Amino acid sequence: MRKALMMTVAMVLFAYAAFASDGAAAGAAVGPVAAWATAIGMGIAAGLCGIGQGLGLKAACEGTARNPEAGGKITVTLILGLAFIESLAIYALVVNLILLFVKPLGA
Amino acid sequence: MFRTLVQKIDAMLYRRGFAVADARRLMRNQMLLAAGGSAVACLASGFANWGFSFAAGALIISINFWWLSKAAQELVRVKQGAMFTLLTLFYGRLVLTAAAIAGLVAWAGASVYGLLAGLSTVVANAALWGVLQMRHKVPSVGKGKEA
Repeated sequence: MRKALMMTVAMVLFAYAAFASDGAAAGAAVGPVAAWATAIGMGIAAGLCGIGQGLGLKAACEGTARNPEAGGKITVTLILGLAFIESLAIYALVVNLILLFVKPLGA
Repeated sequence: MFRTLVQKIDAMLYRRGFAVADARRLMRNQMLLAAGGSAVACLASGFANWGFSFAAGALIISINFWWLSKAAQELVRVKQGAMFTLLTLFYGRLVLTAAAIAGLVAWAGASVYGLLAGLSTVVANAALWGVLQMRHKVPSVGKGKEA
């Protein structure tokens, strides 16, 4: 957990430094920075959503193993949880695609 | 008429492997919400780009939700040998969703706000489901004569 936190902080600092150096170049190379930002952003989103889905599925399997009669209710809750988590990943994907192709921050 | 439609959808879902009743209801609600929302969005926008983008987003997320529900129902009671098929379905679904959204945003020129609104139908469905479940769980107030 501490490692993941350290890596996240390092990535944020790296992105901040990249944007700062880019600002000094007066917006000459926003494209590559945007590409890096989308790659890092999608990686973070996918990784954290994967952790969330894994934890949810683990808990659902354990719950069903302990109390098989509650399997139906657990399954529905699992589906809802997975849908919520996955919609977050899909939102991140859409935002990254907007940054890459629609280019609201400039070319 | 609406009840007949609901019964037909329920029967179709049961035949397609939605054995858990609540999961079936959830999927049925998603289908109705996506279809109704798309029709309203297309009519309200005058069949403009926004409406079609909403419909595309709702369709993508409904298909995604369909496969997710089926995979989740199977995953909690994994059978021998079904793991590879489930994993293939799971990742294939993700790849297809990403490809469809990328195509819509990058090449088809879809309205991003419409697409996001369409993709949000599954969140709206889940939130609605949660609210309805909470409403059903609220204990009815007795008149004091129960004892």
